[in-house]
Amino acid sequence: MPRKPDPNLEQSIVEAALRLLAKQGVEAITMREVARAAGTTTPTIYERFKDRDALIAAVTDYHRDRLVSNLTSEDSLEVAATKFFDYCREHPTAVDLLLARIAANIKLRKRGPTYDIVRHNLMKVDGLNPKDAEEMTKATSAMIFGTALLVSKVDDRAIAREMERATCKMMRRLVASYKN
Amino acid sequence: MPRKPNPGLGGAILDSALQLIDEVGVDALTMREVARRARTSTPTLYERFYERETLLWALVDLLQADMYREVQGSSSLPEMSAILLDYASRYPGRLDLMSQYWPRLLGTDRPKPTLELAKKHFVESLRYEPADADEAAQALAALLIGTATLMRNAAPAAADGLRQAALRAVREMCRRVEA
Repeated sequence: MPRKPDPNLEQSIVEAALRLLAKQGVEAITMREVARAAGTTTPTIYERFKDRDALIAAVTDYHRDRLVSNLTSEDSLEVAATKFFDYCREHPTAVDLLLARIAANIKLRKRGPTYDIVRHNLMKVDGLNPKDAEEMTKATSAMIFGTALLVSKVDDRAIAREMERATCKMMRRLVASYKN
Repeated sequence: MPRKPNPGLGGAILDSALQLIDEVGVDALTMREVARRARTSTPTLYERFYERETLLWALVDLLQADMYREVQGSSSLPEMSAILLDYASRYPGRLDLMSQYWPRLLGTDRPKPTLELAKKHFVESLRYEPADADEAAQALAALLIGTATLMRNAAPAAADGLRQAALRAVREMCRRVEA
């Protein structure tokens, strides 16, 4: 007789993986360790997640969704970028996953929810026309991606803060310039 | 009798290391393979470069000089940016090395000629205040490193879209608009 599916099991597996990620980084997420941390078995995990990549994708989705839930349709570009940088600082072990997701979306020619929010807000909050908003979303996504990537490589918080501030200031300047 | 010092060895080591970065990337660079390619021994390599990190910093300096040679004749920031994006697509391993070391490089007094040139463009041609130029040059670096890294993953049409969007942003940086 097949076991009754446990609706919470998938969630507790992802939560166990998230705890491992937060404590020890992405390398600590192995099917065996996650099984142990979730109080289940490796085969049960494989029933729910095809492989480690699928589990990592679920972990990335979680962080992406939390990041997106911080953003509102009233955020200016600068506010949205600041929220992204803050999220990266608070979840340093998730940064690589979030950045890899952005790169993967571009590779698959997919637009993630953050791309759409930034584009929408550039029109509605910052007042750009659709064509400029499209082009500026690409450039600013790259600038925010680059800043987060560089910040993740340095322990010196003063340097990191300076890079984030420089990017935010430049985005203010760019919004003003695109509008004129 | 001590061995005769080999004055060309330092250069041969750096050439080999750079070649390896171009071929296999930063993460796969090992001291043993650098020594083999430079036709020297691992102990001799460690005499010259105390550890892998020392060698990588020397490569960062070398790359800064090499990038500067590419951009020194450029007359504007968009032109300079286009050259740097092309350089990064030609040498993905060097791009990775630069993004790993760039923020730490900012905290040292090692030469940063490309950044200095960008600042000079901001101050002299665009009349930015020096403090603003410093920040603007850092933002430009983030834009170029971010764009080059994303372009690497993208299909040709999407990569071109990213490149165009970045260069448009650089042109906008060059307009006199108060934020």
